[in-house]
Amino acid sequence: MAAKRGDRRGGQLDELGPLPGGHHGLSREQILESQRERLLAAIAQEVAERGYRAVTITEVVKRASVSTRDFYEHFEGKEACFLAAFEAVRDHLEDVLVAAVAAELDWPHQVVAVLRAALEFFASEPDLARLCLVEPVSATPAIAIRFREEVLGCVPALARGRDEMKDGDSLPPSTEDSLLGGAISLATRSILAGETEQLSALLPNLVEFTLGPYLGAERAAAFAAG
Amino acid sequence: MGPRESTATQFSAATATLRSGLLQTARAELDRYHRRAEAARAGVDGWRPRLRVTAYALYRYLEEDDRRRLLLAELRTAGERSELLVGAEIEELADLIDEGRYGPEAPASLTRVTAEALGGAIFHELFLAAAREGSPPPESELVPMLMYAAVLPYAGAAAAAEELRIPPPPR
Repeated sequence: MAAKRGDRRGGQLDELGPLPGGHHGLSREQILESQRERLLAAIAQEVAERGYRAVTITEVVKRASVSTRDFYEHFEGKEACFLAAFEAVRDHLEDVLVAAVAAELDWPHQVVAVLRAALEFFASEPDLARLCLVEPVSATPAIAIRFREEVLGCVPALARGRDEMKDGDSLPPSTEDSLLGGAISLATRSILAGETEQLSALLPNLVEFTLGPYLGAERAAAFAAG
Repeated sequence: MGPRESTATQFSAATATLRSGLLQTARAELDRYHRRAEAARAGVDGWRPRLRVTAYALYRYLEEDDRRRLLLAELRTAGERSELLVGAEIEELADLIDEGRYGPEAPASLTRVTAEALGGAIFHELFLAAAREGSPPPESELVPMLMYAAVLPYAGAAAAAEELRIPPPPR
Protein backbone atom coordinates (compact mmCIF):
# COMPACT_ATOMS: atom_id res chain seq x y z
CA MET A 1 0.00 0.00 0.00
CA ALA A 2 1.22 3.41 -0.80
CA ALA A 3 0.48 4.85 2.58
CA LYS A 4 2.28 7.93 1.46
CA ARG A 5 2.74 9.68 4.73
CA GLY A 6 4.51 6.69 6.14
CA ASP A 7 6.37 6.23 2.85
CA ARG A 8 5.63 2.53 2.87
CA ARG A 9 5.27 0.48 -0.28
CA GLY A 10 2.59 -2.07 -0.99
CA GLY A 11 4.94 -5.01 -0.62
CA GLN A 12 5.59 -4.00 2.92
CA LEU A 13 1.97 -4.11 3.98
CA ASP A 14 2.40 -7.31 5.89
CA GLU A 15 4.98 -5.64 8.07
CA LEU A 16 2.39 -3.23 9.46
CA GLY A 17 1.55 -4.79 12.79
CA PRO A 18 -0.33 -3.52 15.82
CA LEU A 19 1.44 -1.09 18.10
CA PRO A 20 2.95 -2.50 21.28
CA GLY A 21 0.67 -2.39 24.29
CA GLY A 22 1.32 -0.40 27.45
CA HIS A 23 3.50 2.70 27.55
CA HIS A 24 4.89 2.94 24.06
CA GLY A 25 5.54 6.68 24.20
CA LEU A 26 3.77 7.41 20.92
CA SER A 27 1.75 10.56 20.45
CA ARG A 28 -1.97 10.46 19.70
CA GLU A 29 -1.18 11.60 16.16
CA GLN A 30 1.31 8.78 15.63
CA ILE A 31 -1.20 6.23 16.89
CA LEU A 32 -3.89 7.53 14.56
CA GLU A 33 -1.51 7.48 11.62
CA SER A 34 -0.47 3.92 12.38
CA GLN A 35 -4.11 2.83 12.67
CA ARG A 36 -5.02 4.49 9.41
CA GLU A 37 -2.12 2.88 7.56
CA ARG A 38 -3.03 -0.54 8.94
CA LEU A 39 -6.67 -0.10 7.94
CA LEU A 40 -5.71 0.91 4.40
CA ALA A 41 -3.38 -2.06 4.15
CA ALA A 42 -6.03 -4.38 5.55
CA ILE A 43 -8.76 -3.33 3.14
CA ALA A 44 -6.37 -3.69 0.21
CA GLN A 45 -5.54 -7.24 1.23
CA GLU A 46 -9.12 -8.20 2.08
CA VAL A 47 -10.41 -6.83 -1.22
CA ALA A 48 -7.70 -8.68 -3.13
CA GLU A 49 -8.66 -11.93 -1.45
CA ARG A 50 -12.45 -11.67 -1.42
CA GLY A 51 -13.52 -8.87 -3.72
CA TYR A 52 -14.98 -5.58 -2.50
CA ARG A 53 -18.54 -6.77 -2.11
CA ALA A 54 -17.69 -9.70 0.12
CA VAL A 55 -15.44 -7.74 2.48
CA THR A 56 -16.86 -6.69 5.85
CA ILE A 57 -15.62 -4.05 8.22
CA THR A 58 -15.31 -6.75 10.87
CA GLU A 59 -12.70 -8.53 8.77
CA VAL A 60 -10.86 -5.32 7.97
CA VAL A 61 -10.56 -4.24 11.60
CA LYS A 62 -9.53 -7.73 12.65
CA ARG A 63 -6.78 -7.83 10.07
CA ALA A 64 -5.64 -4.32 10.99
CA SER A 65 -5.77 -5.04 14.74
CA VAL A 66 -7.87 -1.93 15.20
CA SER A 67 -11.15 -1.74 17.07
CA THR A 68 -14.40 -1.17 15.20
CA ARG A 69 -14.85 2.03 17.17
CA ASP A 70 -11.46 3.27 16.01
CA PHE A 71 -12.32 2.30 12.43
CA TYR A 72 -15.23 4.74 12.54
CA GLU A 73 -12.94 7.42 13.94
CA HIS A 74 -11.13 7.27 10.61
CA PHE A 75 -13.80 6.39 8.06
CA GLU A 76 -17.55 6.63 7.63
CA GLY A 77 -17.68 3.10 6.29
CA LYS A 78 -16.22 0.51 3.95
CA GLU A 79 -16.60 2.65 0.86
CA ALA A 80 -14.74 5.58 2.43
CA CYS A 81 -11.97 3.25 3.59
CA PHE A 82 -11.65 1.75 0.11
CA LEU A 83 -11.56 5.20 -1.49
CA ALA A 84 -8.84 6.31 0.93
CA ALA A 85 -6.78 3.24 0.02
CA PHE A 86 -7.39 3.83 -3.69
CA GLU A 87 -6.27 7.44 -3.37
CA ALA A 88 -3.18 6.51 -1.38
CA VAL A 89 -2.12 4.09 -4.11
CA ARG A 90 -2.96 6.68 -6.74
CA ASP A 91 -0.67 9.21 -5.00
CA HIS A 92 2.15 6.74 -4.77
CA LEU A 93 1.75 5.59 -8.37
CA GLU A 94 1.78 9.21 -9.49
CA ASP A 95 5.17 9.65 -7.79
CA VAL A 96 6.44 6.51 -9.51
CA LEU A 97 5.25 7.71 -12.91
CA VAL A 98 6.60 11.24 -12.48
CA ALA A 99 9.99 9.76 -11.63
CA ALA A 100 9.78 7.46 -14.66
CA VAL A 101 9.20 10.27 -17.16
CA ALA A 102 11.70 12.68 -15.62
CA ALA A 103 14.58 11.43 -17.75
CA GLU A 104 12.60 11.28 -20.99
CA LEU A 105 12.78 14.28 -23.27
CA ASP A 106 10.01 13.63 -25.77
CA TRP A 107 6.40 12.56 -25.60
CA PRO A 108 6.67 9.09 -27.20
CA HIS A 109 9.47 8.06 -24.84
CA GLN A 110 7.51 9.47 -21.92
CA VAL A 111 4.52 7.31 -22.88
CA VAL A 112 6.73 4.24 -23.08
CA ALA A 113 8.26 5.07 -19.68
CA VAL A 114 4.85 5.56 -18.06
CA LEU A 115 3.48 2.32 -19.45
CA ARG A 116 6.58 0.40 -18.38
CA ALA A 117 6.56 1.87 -14.87
CA ALA A 118 2.82 1.31 -14.38
CA LEU A 119 2.97 -2.30 -15.58
CA GLU A 120 6.02 -3.04 -13.43
CA PHE A 121 4.37 -1.43 -10.41
CA PHE A 122 1.17 -3.45 -10.72
CA ALA A 123 3.04 -6.65 -11.59
CA SER A 124 5.00 -6.36 -8.36
CA GLU A 125 1.91 -5.44 -6.31
CA PRO A 126 -0.90 -7.86 -7.25
CA ASP A 127 -3.13 -6.74 -4.36
CA LEU A 128 -2.87 -3.13 -5.42
CA ALA A 129 -3.46 -4.07 -9.05
CA ARG A 130 -6.82 -5.53 -8.06
CA LEU A 131 -7.60 -2.59 -5.81
CA CYS A 132 -6.88 -0.05 -8.51
CA LEU A 133 -7.90 -1.72 -11.74
CA VAL A 134 -10.33 -4.58 -11.14
CA GLU A 135 -12.44 -3.65 -8.13
CA PRO A 136 -13.33 -0.01 -8.82
CA VAL A 137 -15.66 -0.79 -11.74
CA SER A 138 -17.46 -3.52 -9.86
CA ALA A 139 -17.57 -2.03 -6.35
CA THR A 140 -20.06 0.82 -5.93
CA PRO A 141 -21.25 3.66 -8.19
CA ALA A 142 -19.32 6.24 -6.13
CA ILE A 143 -16.11 4.23 -6.48
CA ALA A 144 -16.71 3.69 -10.19
CA ILE A 145 -17.16 7.44 -10.64
CA ARG A 146 -13.95 8.13 -8.71
CA PHE A 147 -12.13 5.64 -10.93
CA ARG A 148 -13.59 7.28 -14.01
CA GLU A 149 -12.32 10.68 -12.83
CA GLU A 150 -8.83 9.25 -12.47
CA VAL A 151 -8.95 7.80 -15.98
CA LEU A 152 -10.16 11.12 -17.38
CA GLY A 153 -7.30 12.82 -15.55
CA CYS A 154 -4.88 10.91 -17.83
CA VAL A 155 -6.48 12.22 -21.03
CA PRO A 156 -4.55 15.53 -21.34
CA ALA A 157 -1.15 13.81 -21.03
CA LEU A 158 -2.09 11.35 -23.75
CA ALA A 159 -3.68 14.02 -25.94
CA ARG A 160 -0.27 15.72 -26.16
CA GLY A 161 0.36 13.09 -28.82
CA ARG A 162 -1.82 15.16 -31.14
CA ASP A 163 1.02 17.72 -31.24
CA GLU A 164 3.17 15.03 -32.82
CA MET A 165 0.83 14.94 -35.82
CA LYS A 166 0.44 17.27 -38.77
CA ASP A 167 -3.30 17.40 -38.14
CA GLY A 168 -3.97 16.36 -34.57
CA ASP A 169 -7.57 17.53 -34.80
CA SER A 170 -8.29 14.82 -37.34
CA LEU A 171 -8.46 12.26 -34.55
CA PRO A 172 -11.93 11.78 -33.07
CA PRO A 173 -12.34 13.37 -29.63
CA SER A 174 -12.90 9.98 -28.02
CA THR A 175 -9.48 8.64 -29.10
CA GLU A 176 -7.76 9.06 -25.73
CA ASP A 177 -10.72 7.63 -23.86
CA SER A 178 -10.72 4.58 -26.12
CA LEU A 179 -6.99 4.07 -25.73
CA LEU A 180 -7.15 4.29 -21.95
CA GLY A 181 -10.21 2.04 -21.85
CA GLY A 182 -8.45 -0.51 -24.03
CA ALA A 183 -5.27 -0.47 -21.95
CA ILE A 184 -7.19 -0.83 -18.69
CA SER A 185 -9.36 -3.58 -20.10
CA LEU A 186 -6.29 -5.50 -21.22
CA ALA A 187 -4.59 -5.18 -17.85
CA THR A 188 -7.80 -6.08 -15.99
CA ARG A 189 -8.26 -9.24 -17.99
CA SER A 190 -4.68 -10.33 -17.31
CA ILE A 191 -5.25 -9.79 -13.60
CA LEU A 192 -8.51 -11.74 -13.63
CA ALA A 193 -6.74 -14.53 -15.48
CA GLY A 194 -4.24 -14.76 -12.61
CA GLU A 195 -1.42 -13.32 -14.70
CA THR A 196 -0.75 -10.15 -12.74
CA GLU A 197 2.94 -10.91 -12.37
CA GLN A 198 3.27 -11.13 -16.14
CA LEU A 199 1.71 -7.71 -16.77
CA SER A 200 5.02 -6.32 -18.01
CA ALA A 201 4.81 -8.69 -20.98
CA LEU A 202 2.00 -6.48 -22.30
CA LEU A 203 4.39 -3.56 -22.78
CA PRO A 204 5.26 -3.93 -26.50
CA ASN A 205 1.63 -4.40 -27.49
CA LEU A 206 0.44 -1.53 -25.32
CA VAL A 207 3.13 0.79 -26.66
CA GLU A 208 2.14 0.04 -30.25
CA PHE A 209 -1.56 0.31 -29.41
CA THR A 210 -1.16 3.63 -27.59
CA LEU A 211 1.27 5.38 -29.91
CA GLY A 212 -0.24 4.10 -33.15
CA PRO A 213 -2.97 6.72 -33.62
CA TYR A 214 -0.47 9.56 -33.15
CA LEU A 215 2.73 8.31 -34.77
CA GLY A 216 1.41 5.89 -37.36
CA ALA A 217 1.82 2.14 -37.41
CA GLU A 218 5.50 2.02 -38.45
CA ARG A 219 6.87 4.45 -35.88
CA ALA A 220 4.68 2.98 -33.16
CA ALA A 221 5.97 -0.50 -33.98
CA ALA A 222 9.55 0.80 -33.84
CA PHE A 223 8.97 2.21 -30.35
CA ALA A 224 7.32 -1.05 -29.31
CA ALA A 225 10.30 -3.02 -30.52
CA GLY A 226 12.71 -0.51 -28.98
CA MET B 1 -26.62 -20.27 15.37
CA GLY B 2 -27.72 -17.06 17.09
CA PRO B 3 -30.36 -14.70 15.66
CA ARG B 4 -27.74 -12.24 14.37
CA GLU B 5 -25.78 -14.96 12.57
CA SER B 6 -29.00 -16.39 11.20
CA THR B 7 -30.00 -13.00 9.74
CA ALA B 8 -26.55 -12.55 8.23
CA THR B 9 -26.70 -16.01 6.65
CA GLN B 10 -30.15 -15.34 5.25
CA PHE B 11 -29.05 -11.98 3.89
CA SER B 12 -25.98 -13.53 2.31
CA ALA B 13 -28.10 -16.28 0.70
CA ALA B 14 -30.59 -13.72 -0.62
CA THR B 15 -27.77 -11.64 -2.10
CA ALA B 16 -26.28 -14.70 -3.79
CA THR B 17 -29.69 -15.56 -5.26
CA LEU B 18 -30.13 -12.03 -6.59
CA ARG B 19 -26.66 -12.05 -8.13
CA SER B 20 -27.25 -15.43 -9.70
CA GLY B 21 -30.57 -14.15 -11.09
CA LEU B 22 -28.83 -11.12 -12.55
CA LEU B 23 -26.25 -13.32 -14.24
CA GLN B 24 -28.95 -15.58 -15.69
CA THR B 25 -30.85 -12.58 -17.03
CA ALA B 26 -27.65 -11.13 -18.44
CA ARG B 27 -26.79 -14.41 -20.19
CA ALA B 28 -30.27 -14.58 -21.74
CA GLU B 29 -30.01 -10.96 -22.88
CA LEU B 30 -26.54 -11.48 -24.34
CA ASP B 31 -27.82 -14.53 -26.26
CA ARG B 32 -30.54 -12.34 -27.69
CA TYR B 33 -27.97 -9.76 -28.76
CA HIS B 34 -25.81 -12.49 -30.36
CA ARG B 35 -28.74 -13.66 -32.46
CA ARG B 36 -29.36 -10.06 -33.49
CA ALA B 37 -25.70 -9.51 -34.43
CA GLU B 38 -25.53 -12.76 -36.40
CA ALA B 39 -28.62 -11.73 -38.34
CA ALA B 40 -27.05 -8.34 -39.08
CA ARG B 41 -23.86 -9.98 -40.39
CA ALA B 42 -25.70 -12.49 -42.58
CA GLY B 43 -24.83 -11.84 -46.21
CA VAL B 44 -22.38 -9.04 -45.35
CA ASP B 45 -18.91 -9.54 -46.83
CA GLY B 46 -15.63 -8.03 -45.74
CA TRP B 47 -14.07 -7.44 -42.38
CA ARG B 48 -14.93 -3.78 -41.97
CA PRO B 49 -18.60 -4.05 -43.04
CA ARG B 50 -19.07 -7.08 -40.77
CA LEU B 51 -17.52 -5.26 -37.83
CA ARG B 52 -19.56 -2.15 -38.58
CA VAL B 53 -22.94 -3.93 -38.66
CA THR B 54 -22.00 -5.73 -35.43
CA ALA B 55 -21.18 -2.45 -33.70
CA TYR B 56 -24.46 -0.93 -34.84
CA ALA B 57 -26.35 -4.07 -33.79
CA LEU B 58 -24.88 -3.80 -30.30
CA TYR B 59 -25.61 -0.10 -30.04
CA ARG B 60 -29.19 -0.51 -31.25
CA TYR B 61 -29.77 -3.45 -29.00
CA LEU B 62 -28.76 -1.37 -25.99
CA GLU B 63 -30.49 1.77 -27.17
CA GLU B 64 -33.94 0.34 -27.76
CA ASP B 65 -34.54 -0.61 -24.15
CA ASP B 66 -33.42 1.35 -21.10
CA ARG B 67 -33.52 -1.84 -19.06
CA ARG B 68 -30.78 -3.37 -21.17
CA ARG B 69 -28.55 -0.38 -20.64
CA LEU B 70 -29.17 -0.62 -16.93
CA LEU B 71 -28.43 -4.32 -17.06
CA LEU B 72 -25.08 -3.70 -18.73
CA ALA B 73 -24.24 -1.00 -16.22
CA GLU B 74 -25.31 -3.24 -13.34
CA LEU B 75 -23.47 -6.22 -14.78
CA ARG B 76 -20.21 -4.33 -14.48
CA THR B 77 -20.87 -3.81 -10.80
CA ALA B 78 -21.99 -7.33 -9.90
CA GLY B 79 -18.71 -8.91 -8.97
CA GLU B 80 -16.07 -11.09 -10.54
CA ARG B 81 -18.34 -13.64 -12.21
CA SER B 82 -20.07 -10.91 -14.13
CA GLU B 83 -16.67 -9.47 -15.04
CA LEU B 84 -15.83 -12.85 -16.55
CA LEU B 85 -19.07 -12.72 -18.51
CA VAL B 86 -18.13 -9.30 -19.83
CA GLY B 87 -14.65 -10.68 -20.54
CA ALA B 88 -16.16 -13.40 -22.73
CA GLU B 89 -18.08 -10.75 -24.67
CA ILE B 90 -14.90 -8.74 -25.18
CA GLU B 91 -13.19 -11.91 -26.38
CA GLU B 92 -15.90 -12.50 -28.96
CA LEU B 93 -15.69 -8.94 -30.22
CA ALA B 94 -11.90 -9.27 -30.30
CA ASP B 95 -12.24 -12.34 -32.56
CA LEU B 96 -14.04 -10.20 -35.09
CA ILE B 97 -11.62 -7.26 -34.79
CA ASP B 98 -8.65 -9.59 -35.08
CA GLU B 99 -9.72 -10.54 -38.60
CA GLY B 100 -8.27 -7.14 -39.51
CA ARG B 101 -4.78 -8.61 -39.13
CA TYR B 102 -5.27 -10.61 -42.29
CA GLY B 103 -6.01 -7.51 -44.38
CA PRO B 104 -3.45 -6.40 -47.00
CA GLU B 105 -2.48 -3.21 -45.16
CA ALA B 106 -2.19 -4.62 -41.65
CA PRO B 107 1.29 -4.21 -40.14
CA ALA B 108 2.96 -7.55 -39.45
CA SER B 109 3.88 -6.40 -35.96
CA LEU B 110 0.26 -6.47 -34.73
CA THR B 111 -0.80 -9.32 -32.49
CA ARG B 112 -4.03 -10.63 -31.06
CA VAL B 113 -3.50 -8.35 -28.07
CA THR B 114 -4.34 -5.28 -30.17
CA ALA B 115 -7.77 -6.74 -30.95
CA GLU B 116 -8.32 -7.55 -27.28
CA ALA B 117 -7.46 -3.99 -26.30
CA LEU B 118 -9.79 -2.61 -28.95
CA GLY B 119 -12.58 -4.97 -27.91
CA GLY B 120 -12.10 -3.75 -24.35
CA ALA B 121 -12.09 -0.14 -25.51
CA ILE B 122 -15.36 -0.57 -27.39
CA PHE B 123 -17.01 -2.20 -24.37
CA HIS B 124 -15.61 0.53 -22.16
CA GLU B 125 -17.16 3.22 -24.37
CA LEU B 126 -20.49 1.43 -24.57
CA PHE B 127 -20.46 0.86 -20.83
CA LEU B 128 -19.94 4.57 -20.28
CA ALA B 129 -22.71 5.40 -22.72
CA ALA B 130 -24.98 2.90 -20.98
CA ALA B 131 -24.13 4.13 -17.50
CA ARG B 132 -24.60 7.78 -18.39
CA GLU B 133 -27.81 9.36 -17.24
CA GLY B 134 -30.26 10.35 -19.94
CA SER B 135 -29.99 9.33 -23.56
CA PRO B 136 -26.77 7.84 -24.92
CA PRO B 137 -25.00 9.77 -27.70
CA PRO B 138 -26.63 9.16 -31.12
CA GLU B 139 -25.41 6.11 -33.04
CA SER B 140 -24.24 8.28 -35.92
CA GLU B 141 -21.81 9.93 -33.47
CA LEU B 142 -20.63 7.08 -31.25
CA VAL B 143 -20.34 4.09 -33.58
CA PRO B 144 -18.22 5.77 -36.30
CA MET B 145 -15.75 6.90 -33.62
CA LEU B 146 -15.51 3.34 -32.29
CA MET B 147 -15.06 2.08 -35.84
CA TYR B 148 -12.32 4.66 -36.39
CA ALA B 149 -10.43 3.29 -33.38
CA ALA B 150 -10.94 -0.32 -34.48
CA VAL B 151 -9.90 0.18 -38.11
CA LEU B 152 -6.93 2.49 -37.58
CA PRO B 153 -4.29 -0.05 -36.50
CA TYR B 154 -5.14 -2.48 -39.30
CA ALA B 155 -6.01 -0.35 -42.30
CA GLY B 156 -4.41 3.03 -41.57
CA ALA B 157 -5.57 6.61 -41.07
CA ALA B 158 -7.32 7.09 -44.45
CA ALA B 159 -9.51 4.01 -44.02
CA ALA B 160 -10.22 4.94 -40.40
CA ALA B 161 -11.24 8.48 -41.41
CA GLU B 162 -13.53 6.96 -44.02
CA GLU B 163 -15.42 5.25 -41.18
CA LEU B 164 -16.34 8.67 -39.79
CA ARG B 165 -18.19 9.45 -43.03
CA ILE B 166 -20.04 6.17 -43.56
CA PRO B 167 -23.73 6.55 -42.62
CA PRO B 168 -25.42 4.02 -40.35
CA PRO B 169 -26.90 0.94 -42.05
CA PRO B 170 -30.70 0.92 -42.39
CA ARG B 171 -32.60 -0.31 -39.36
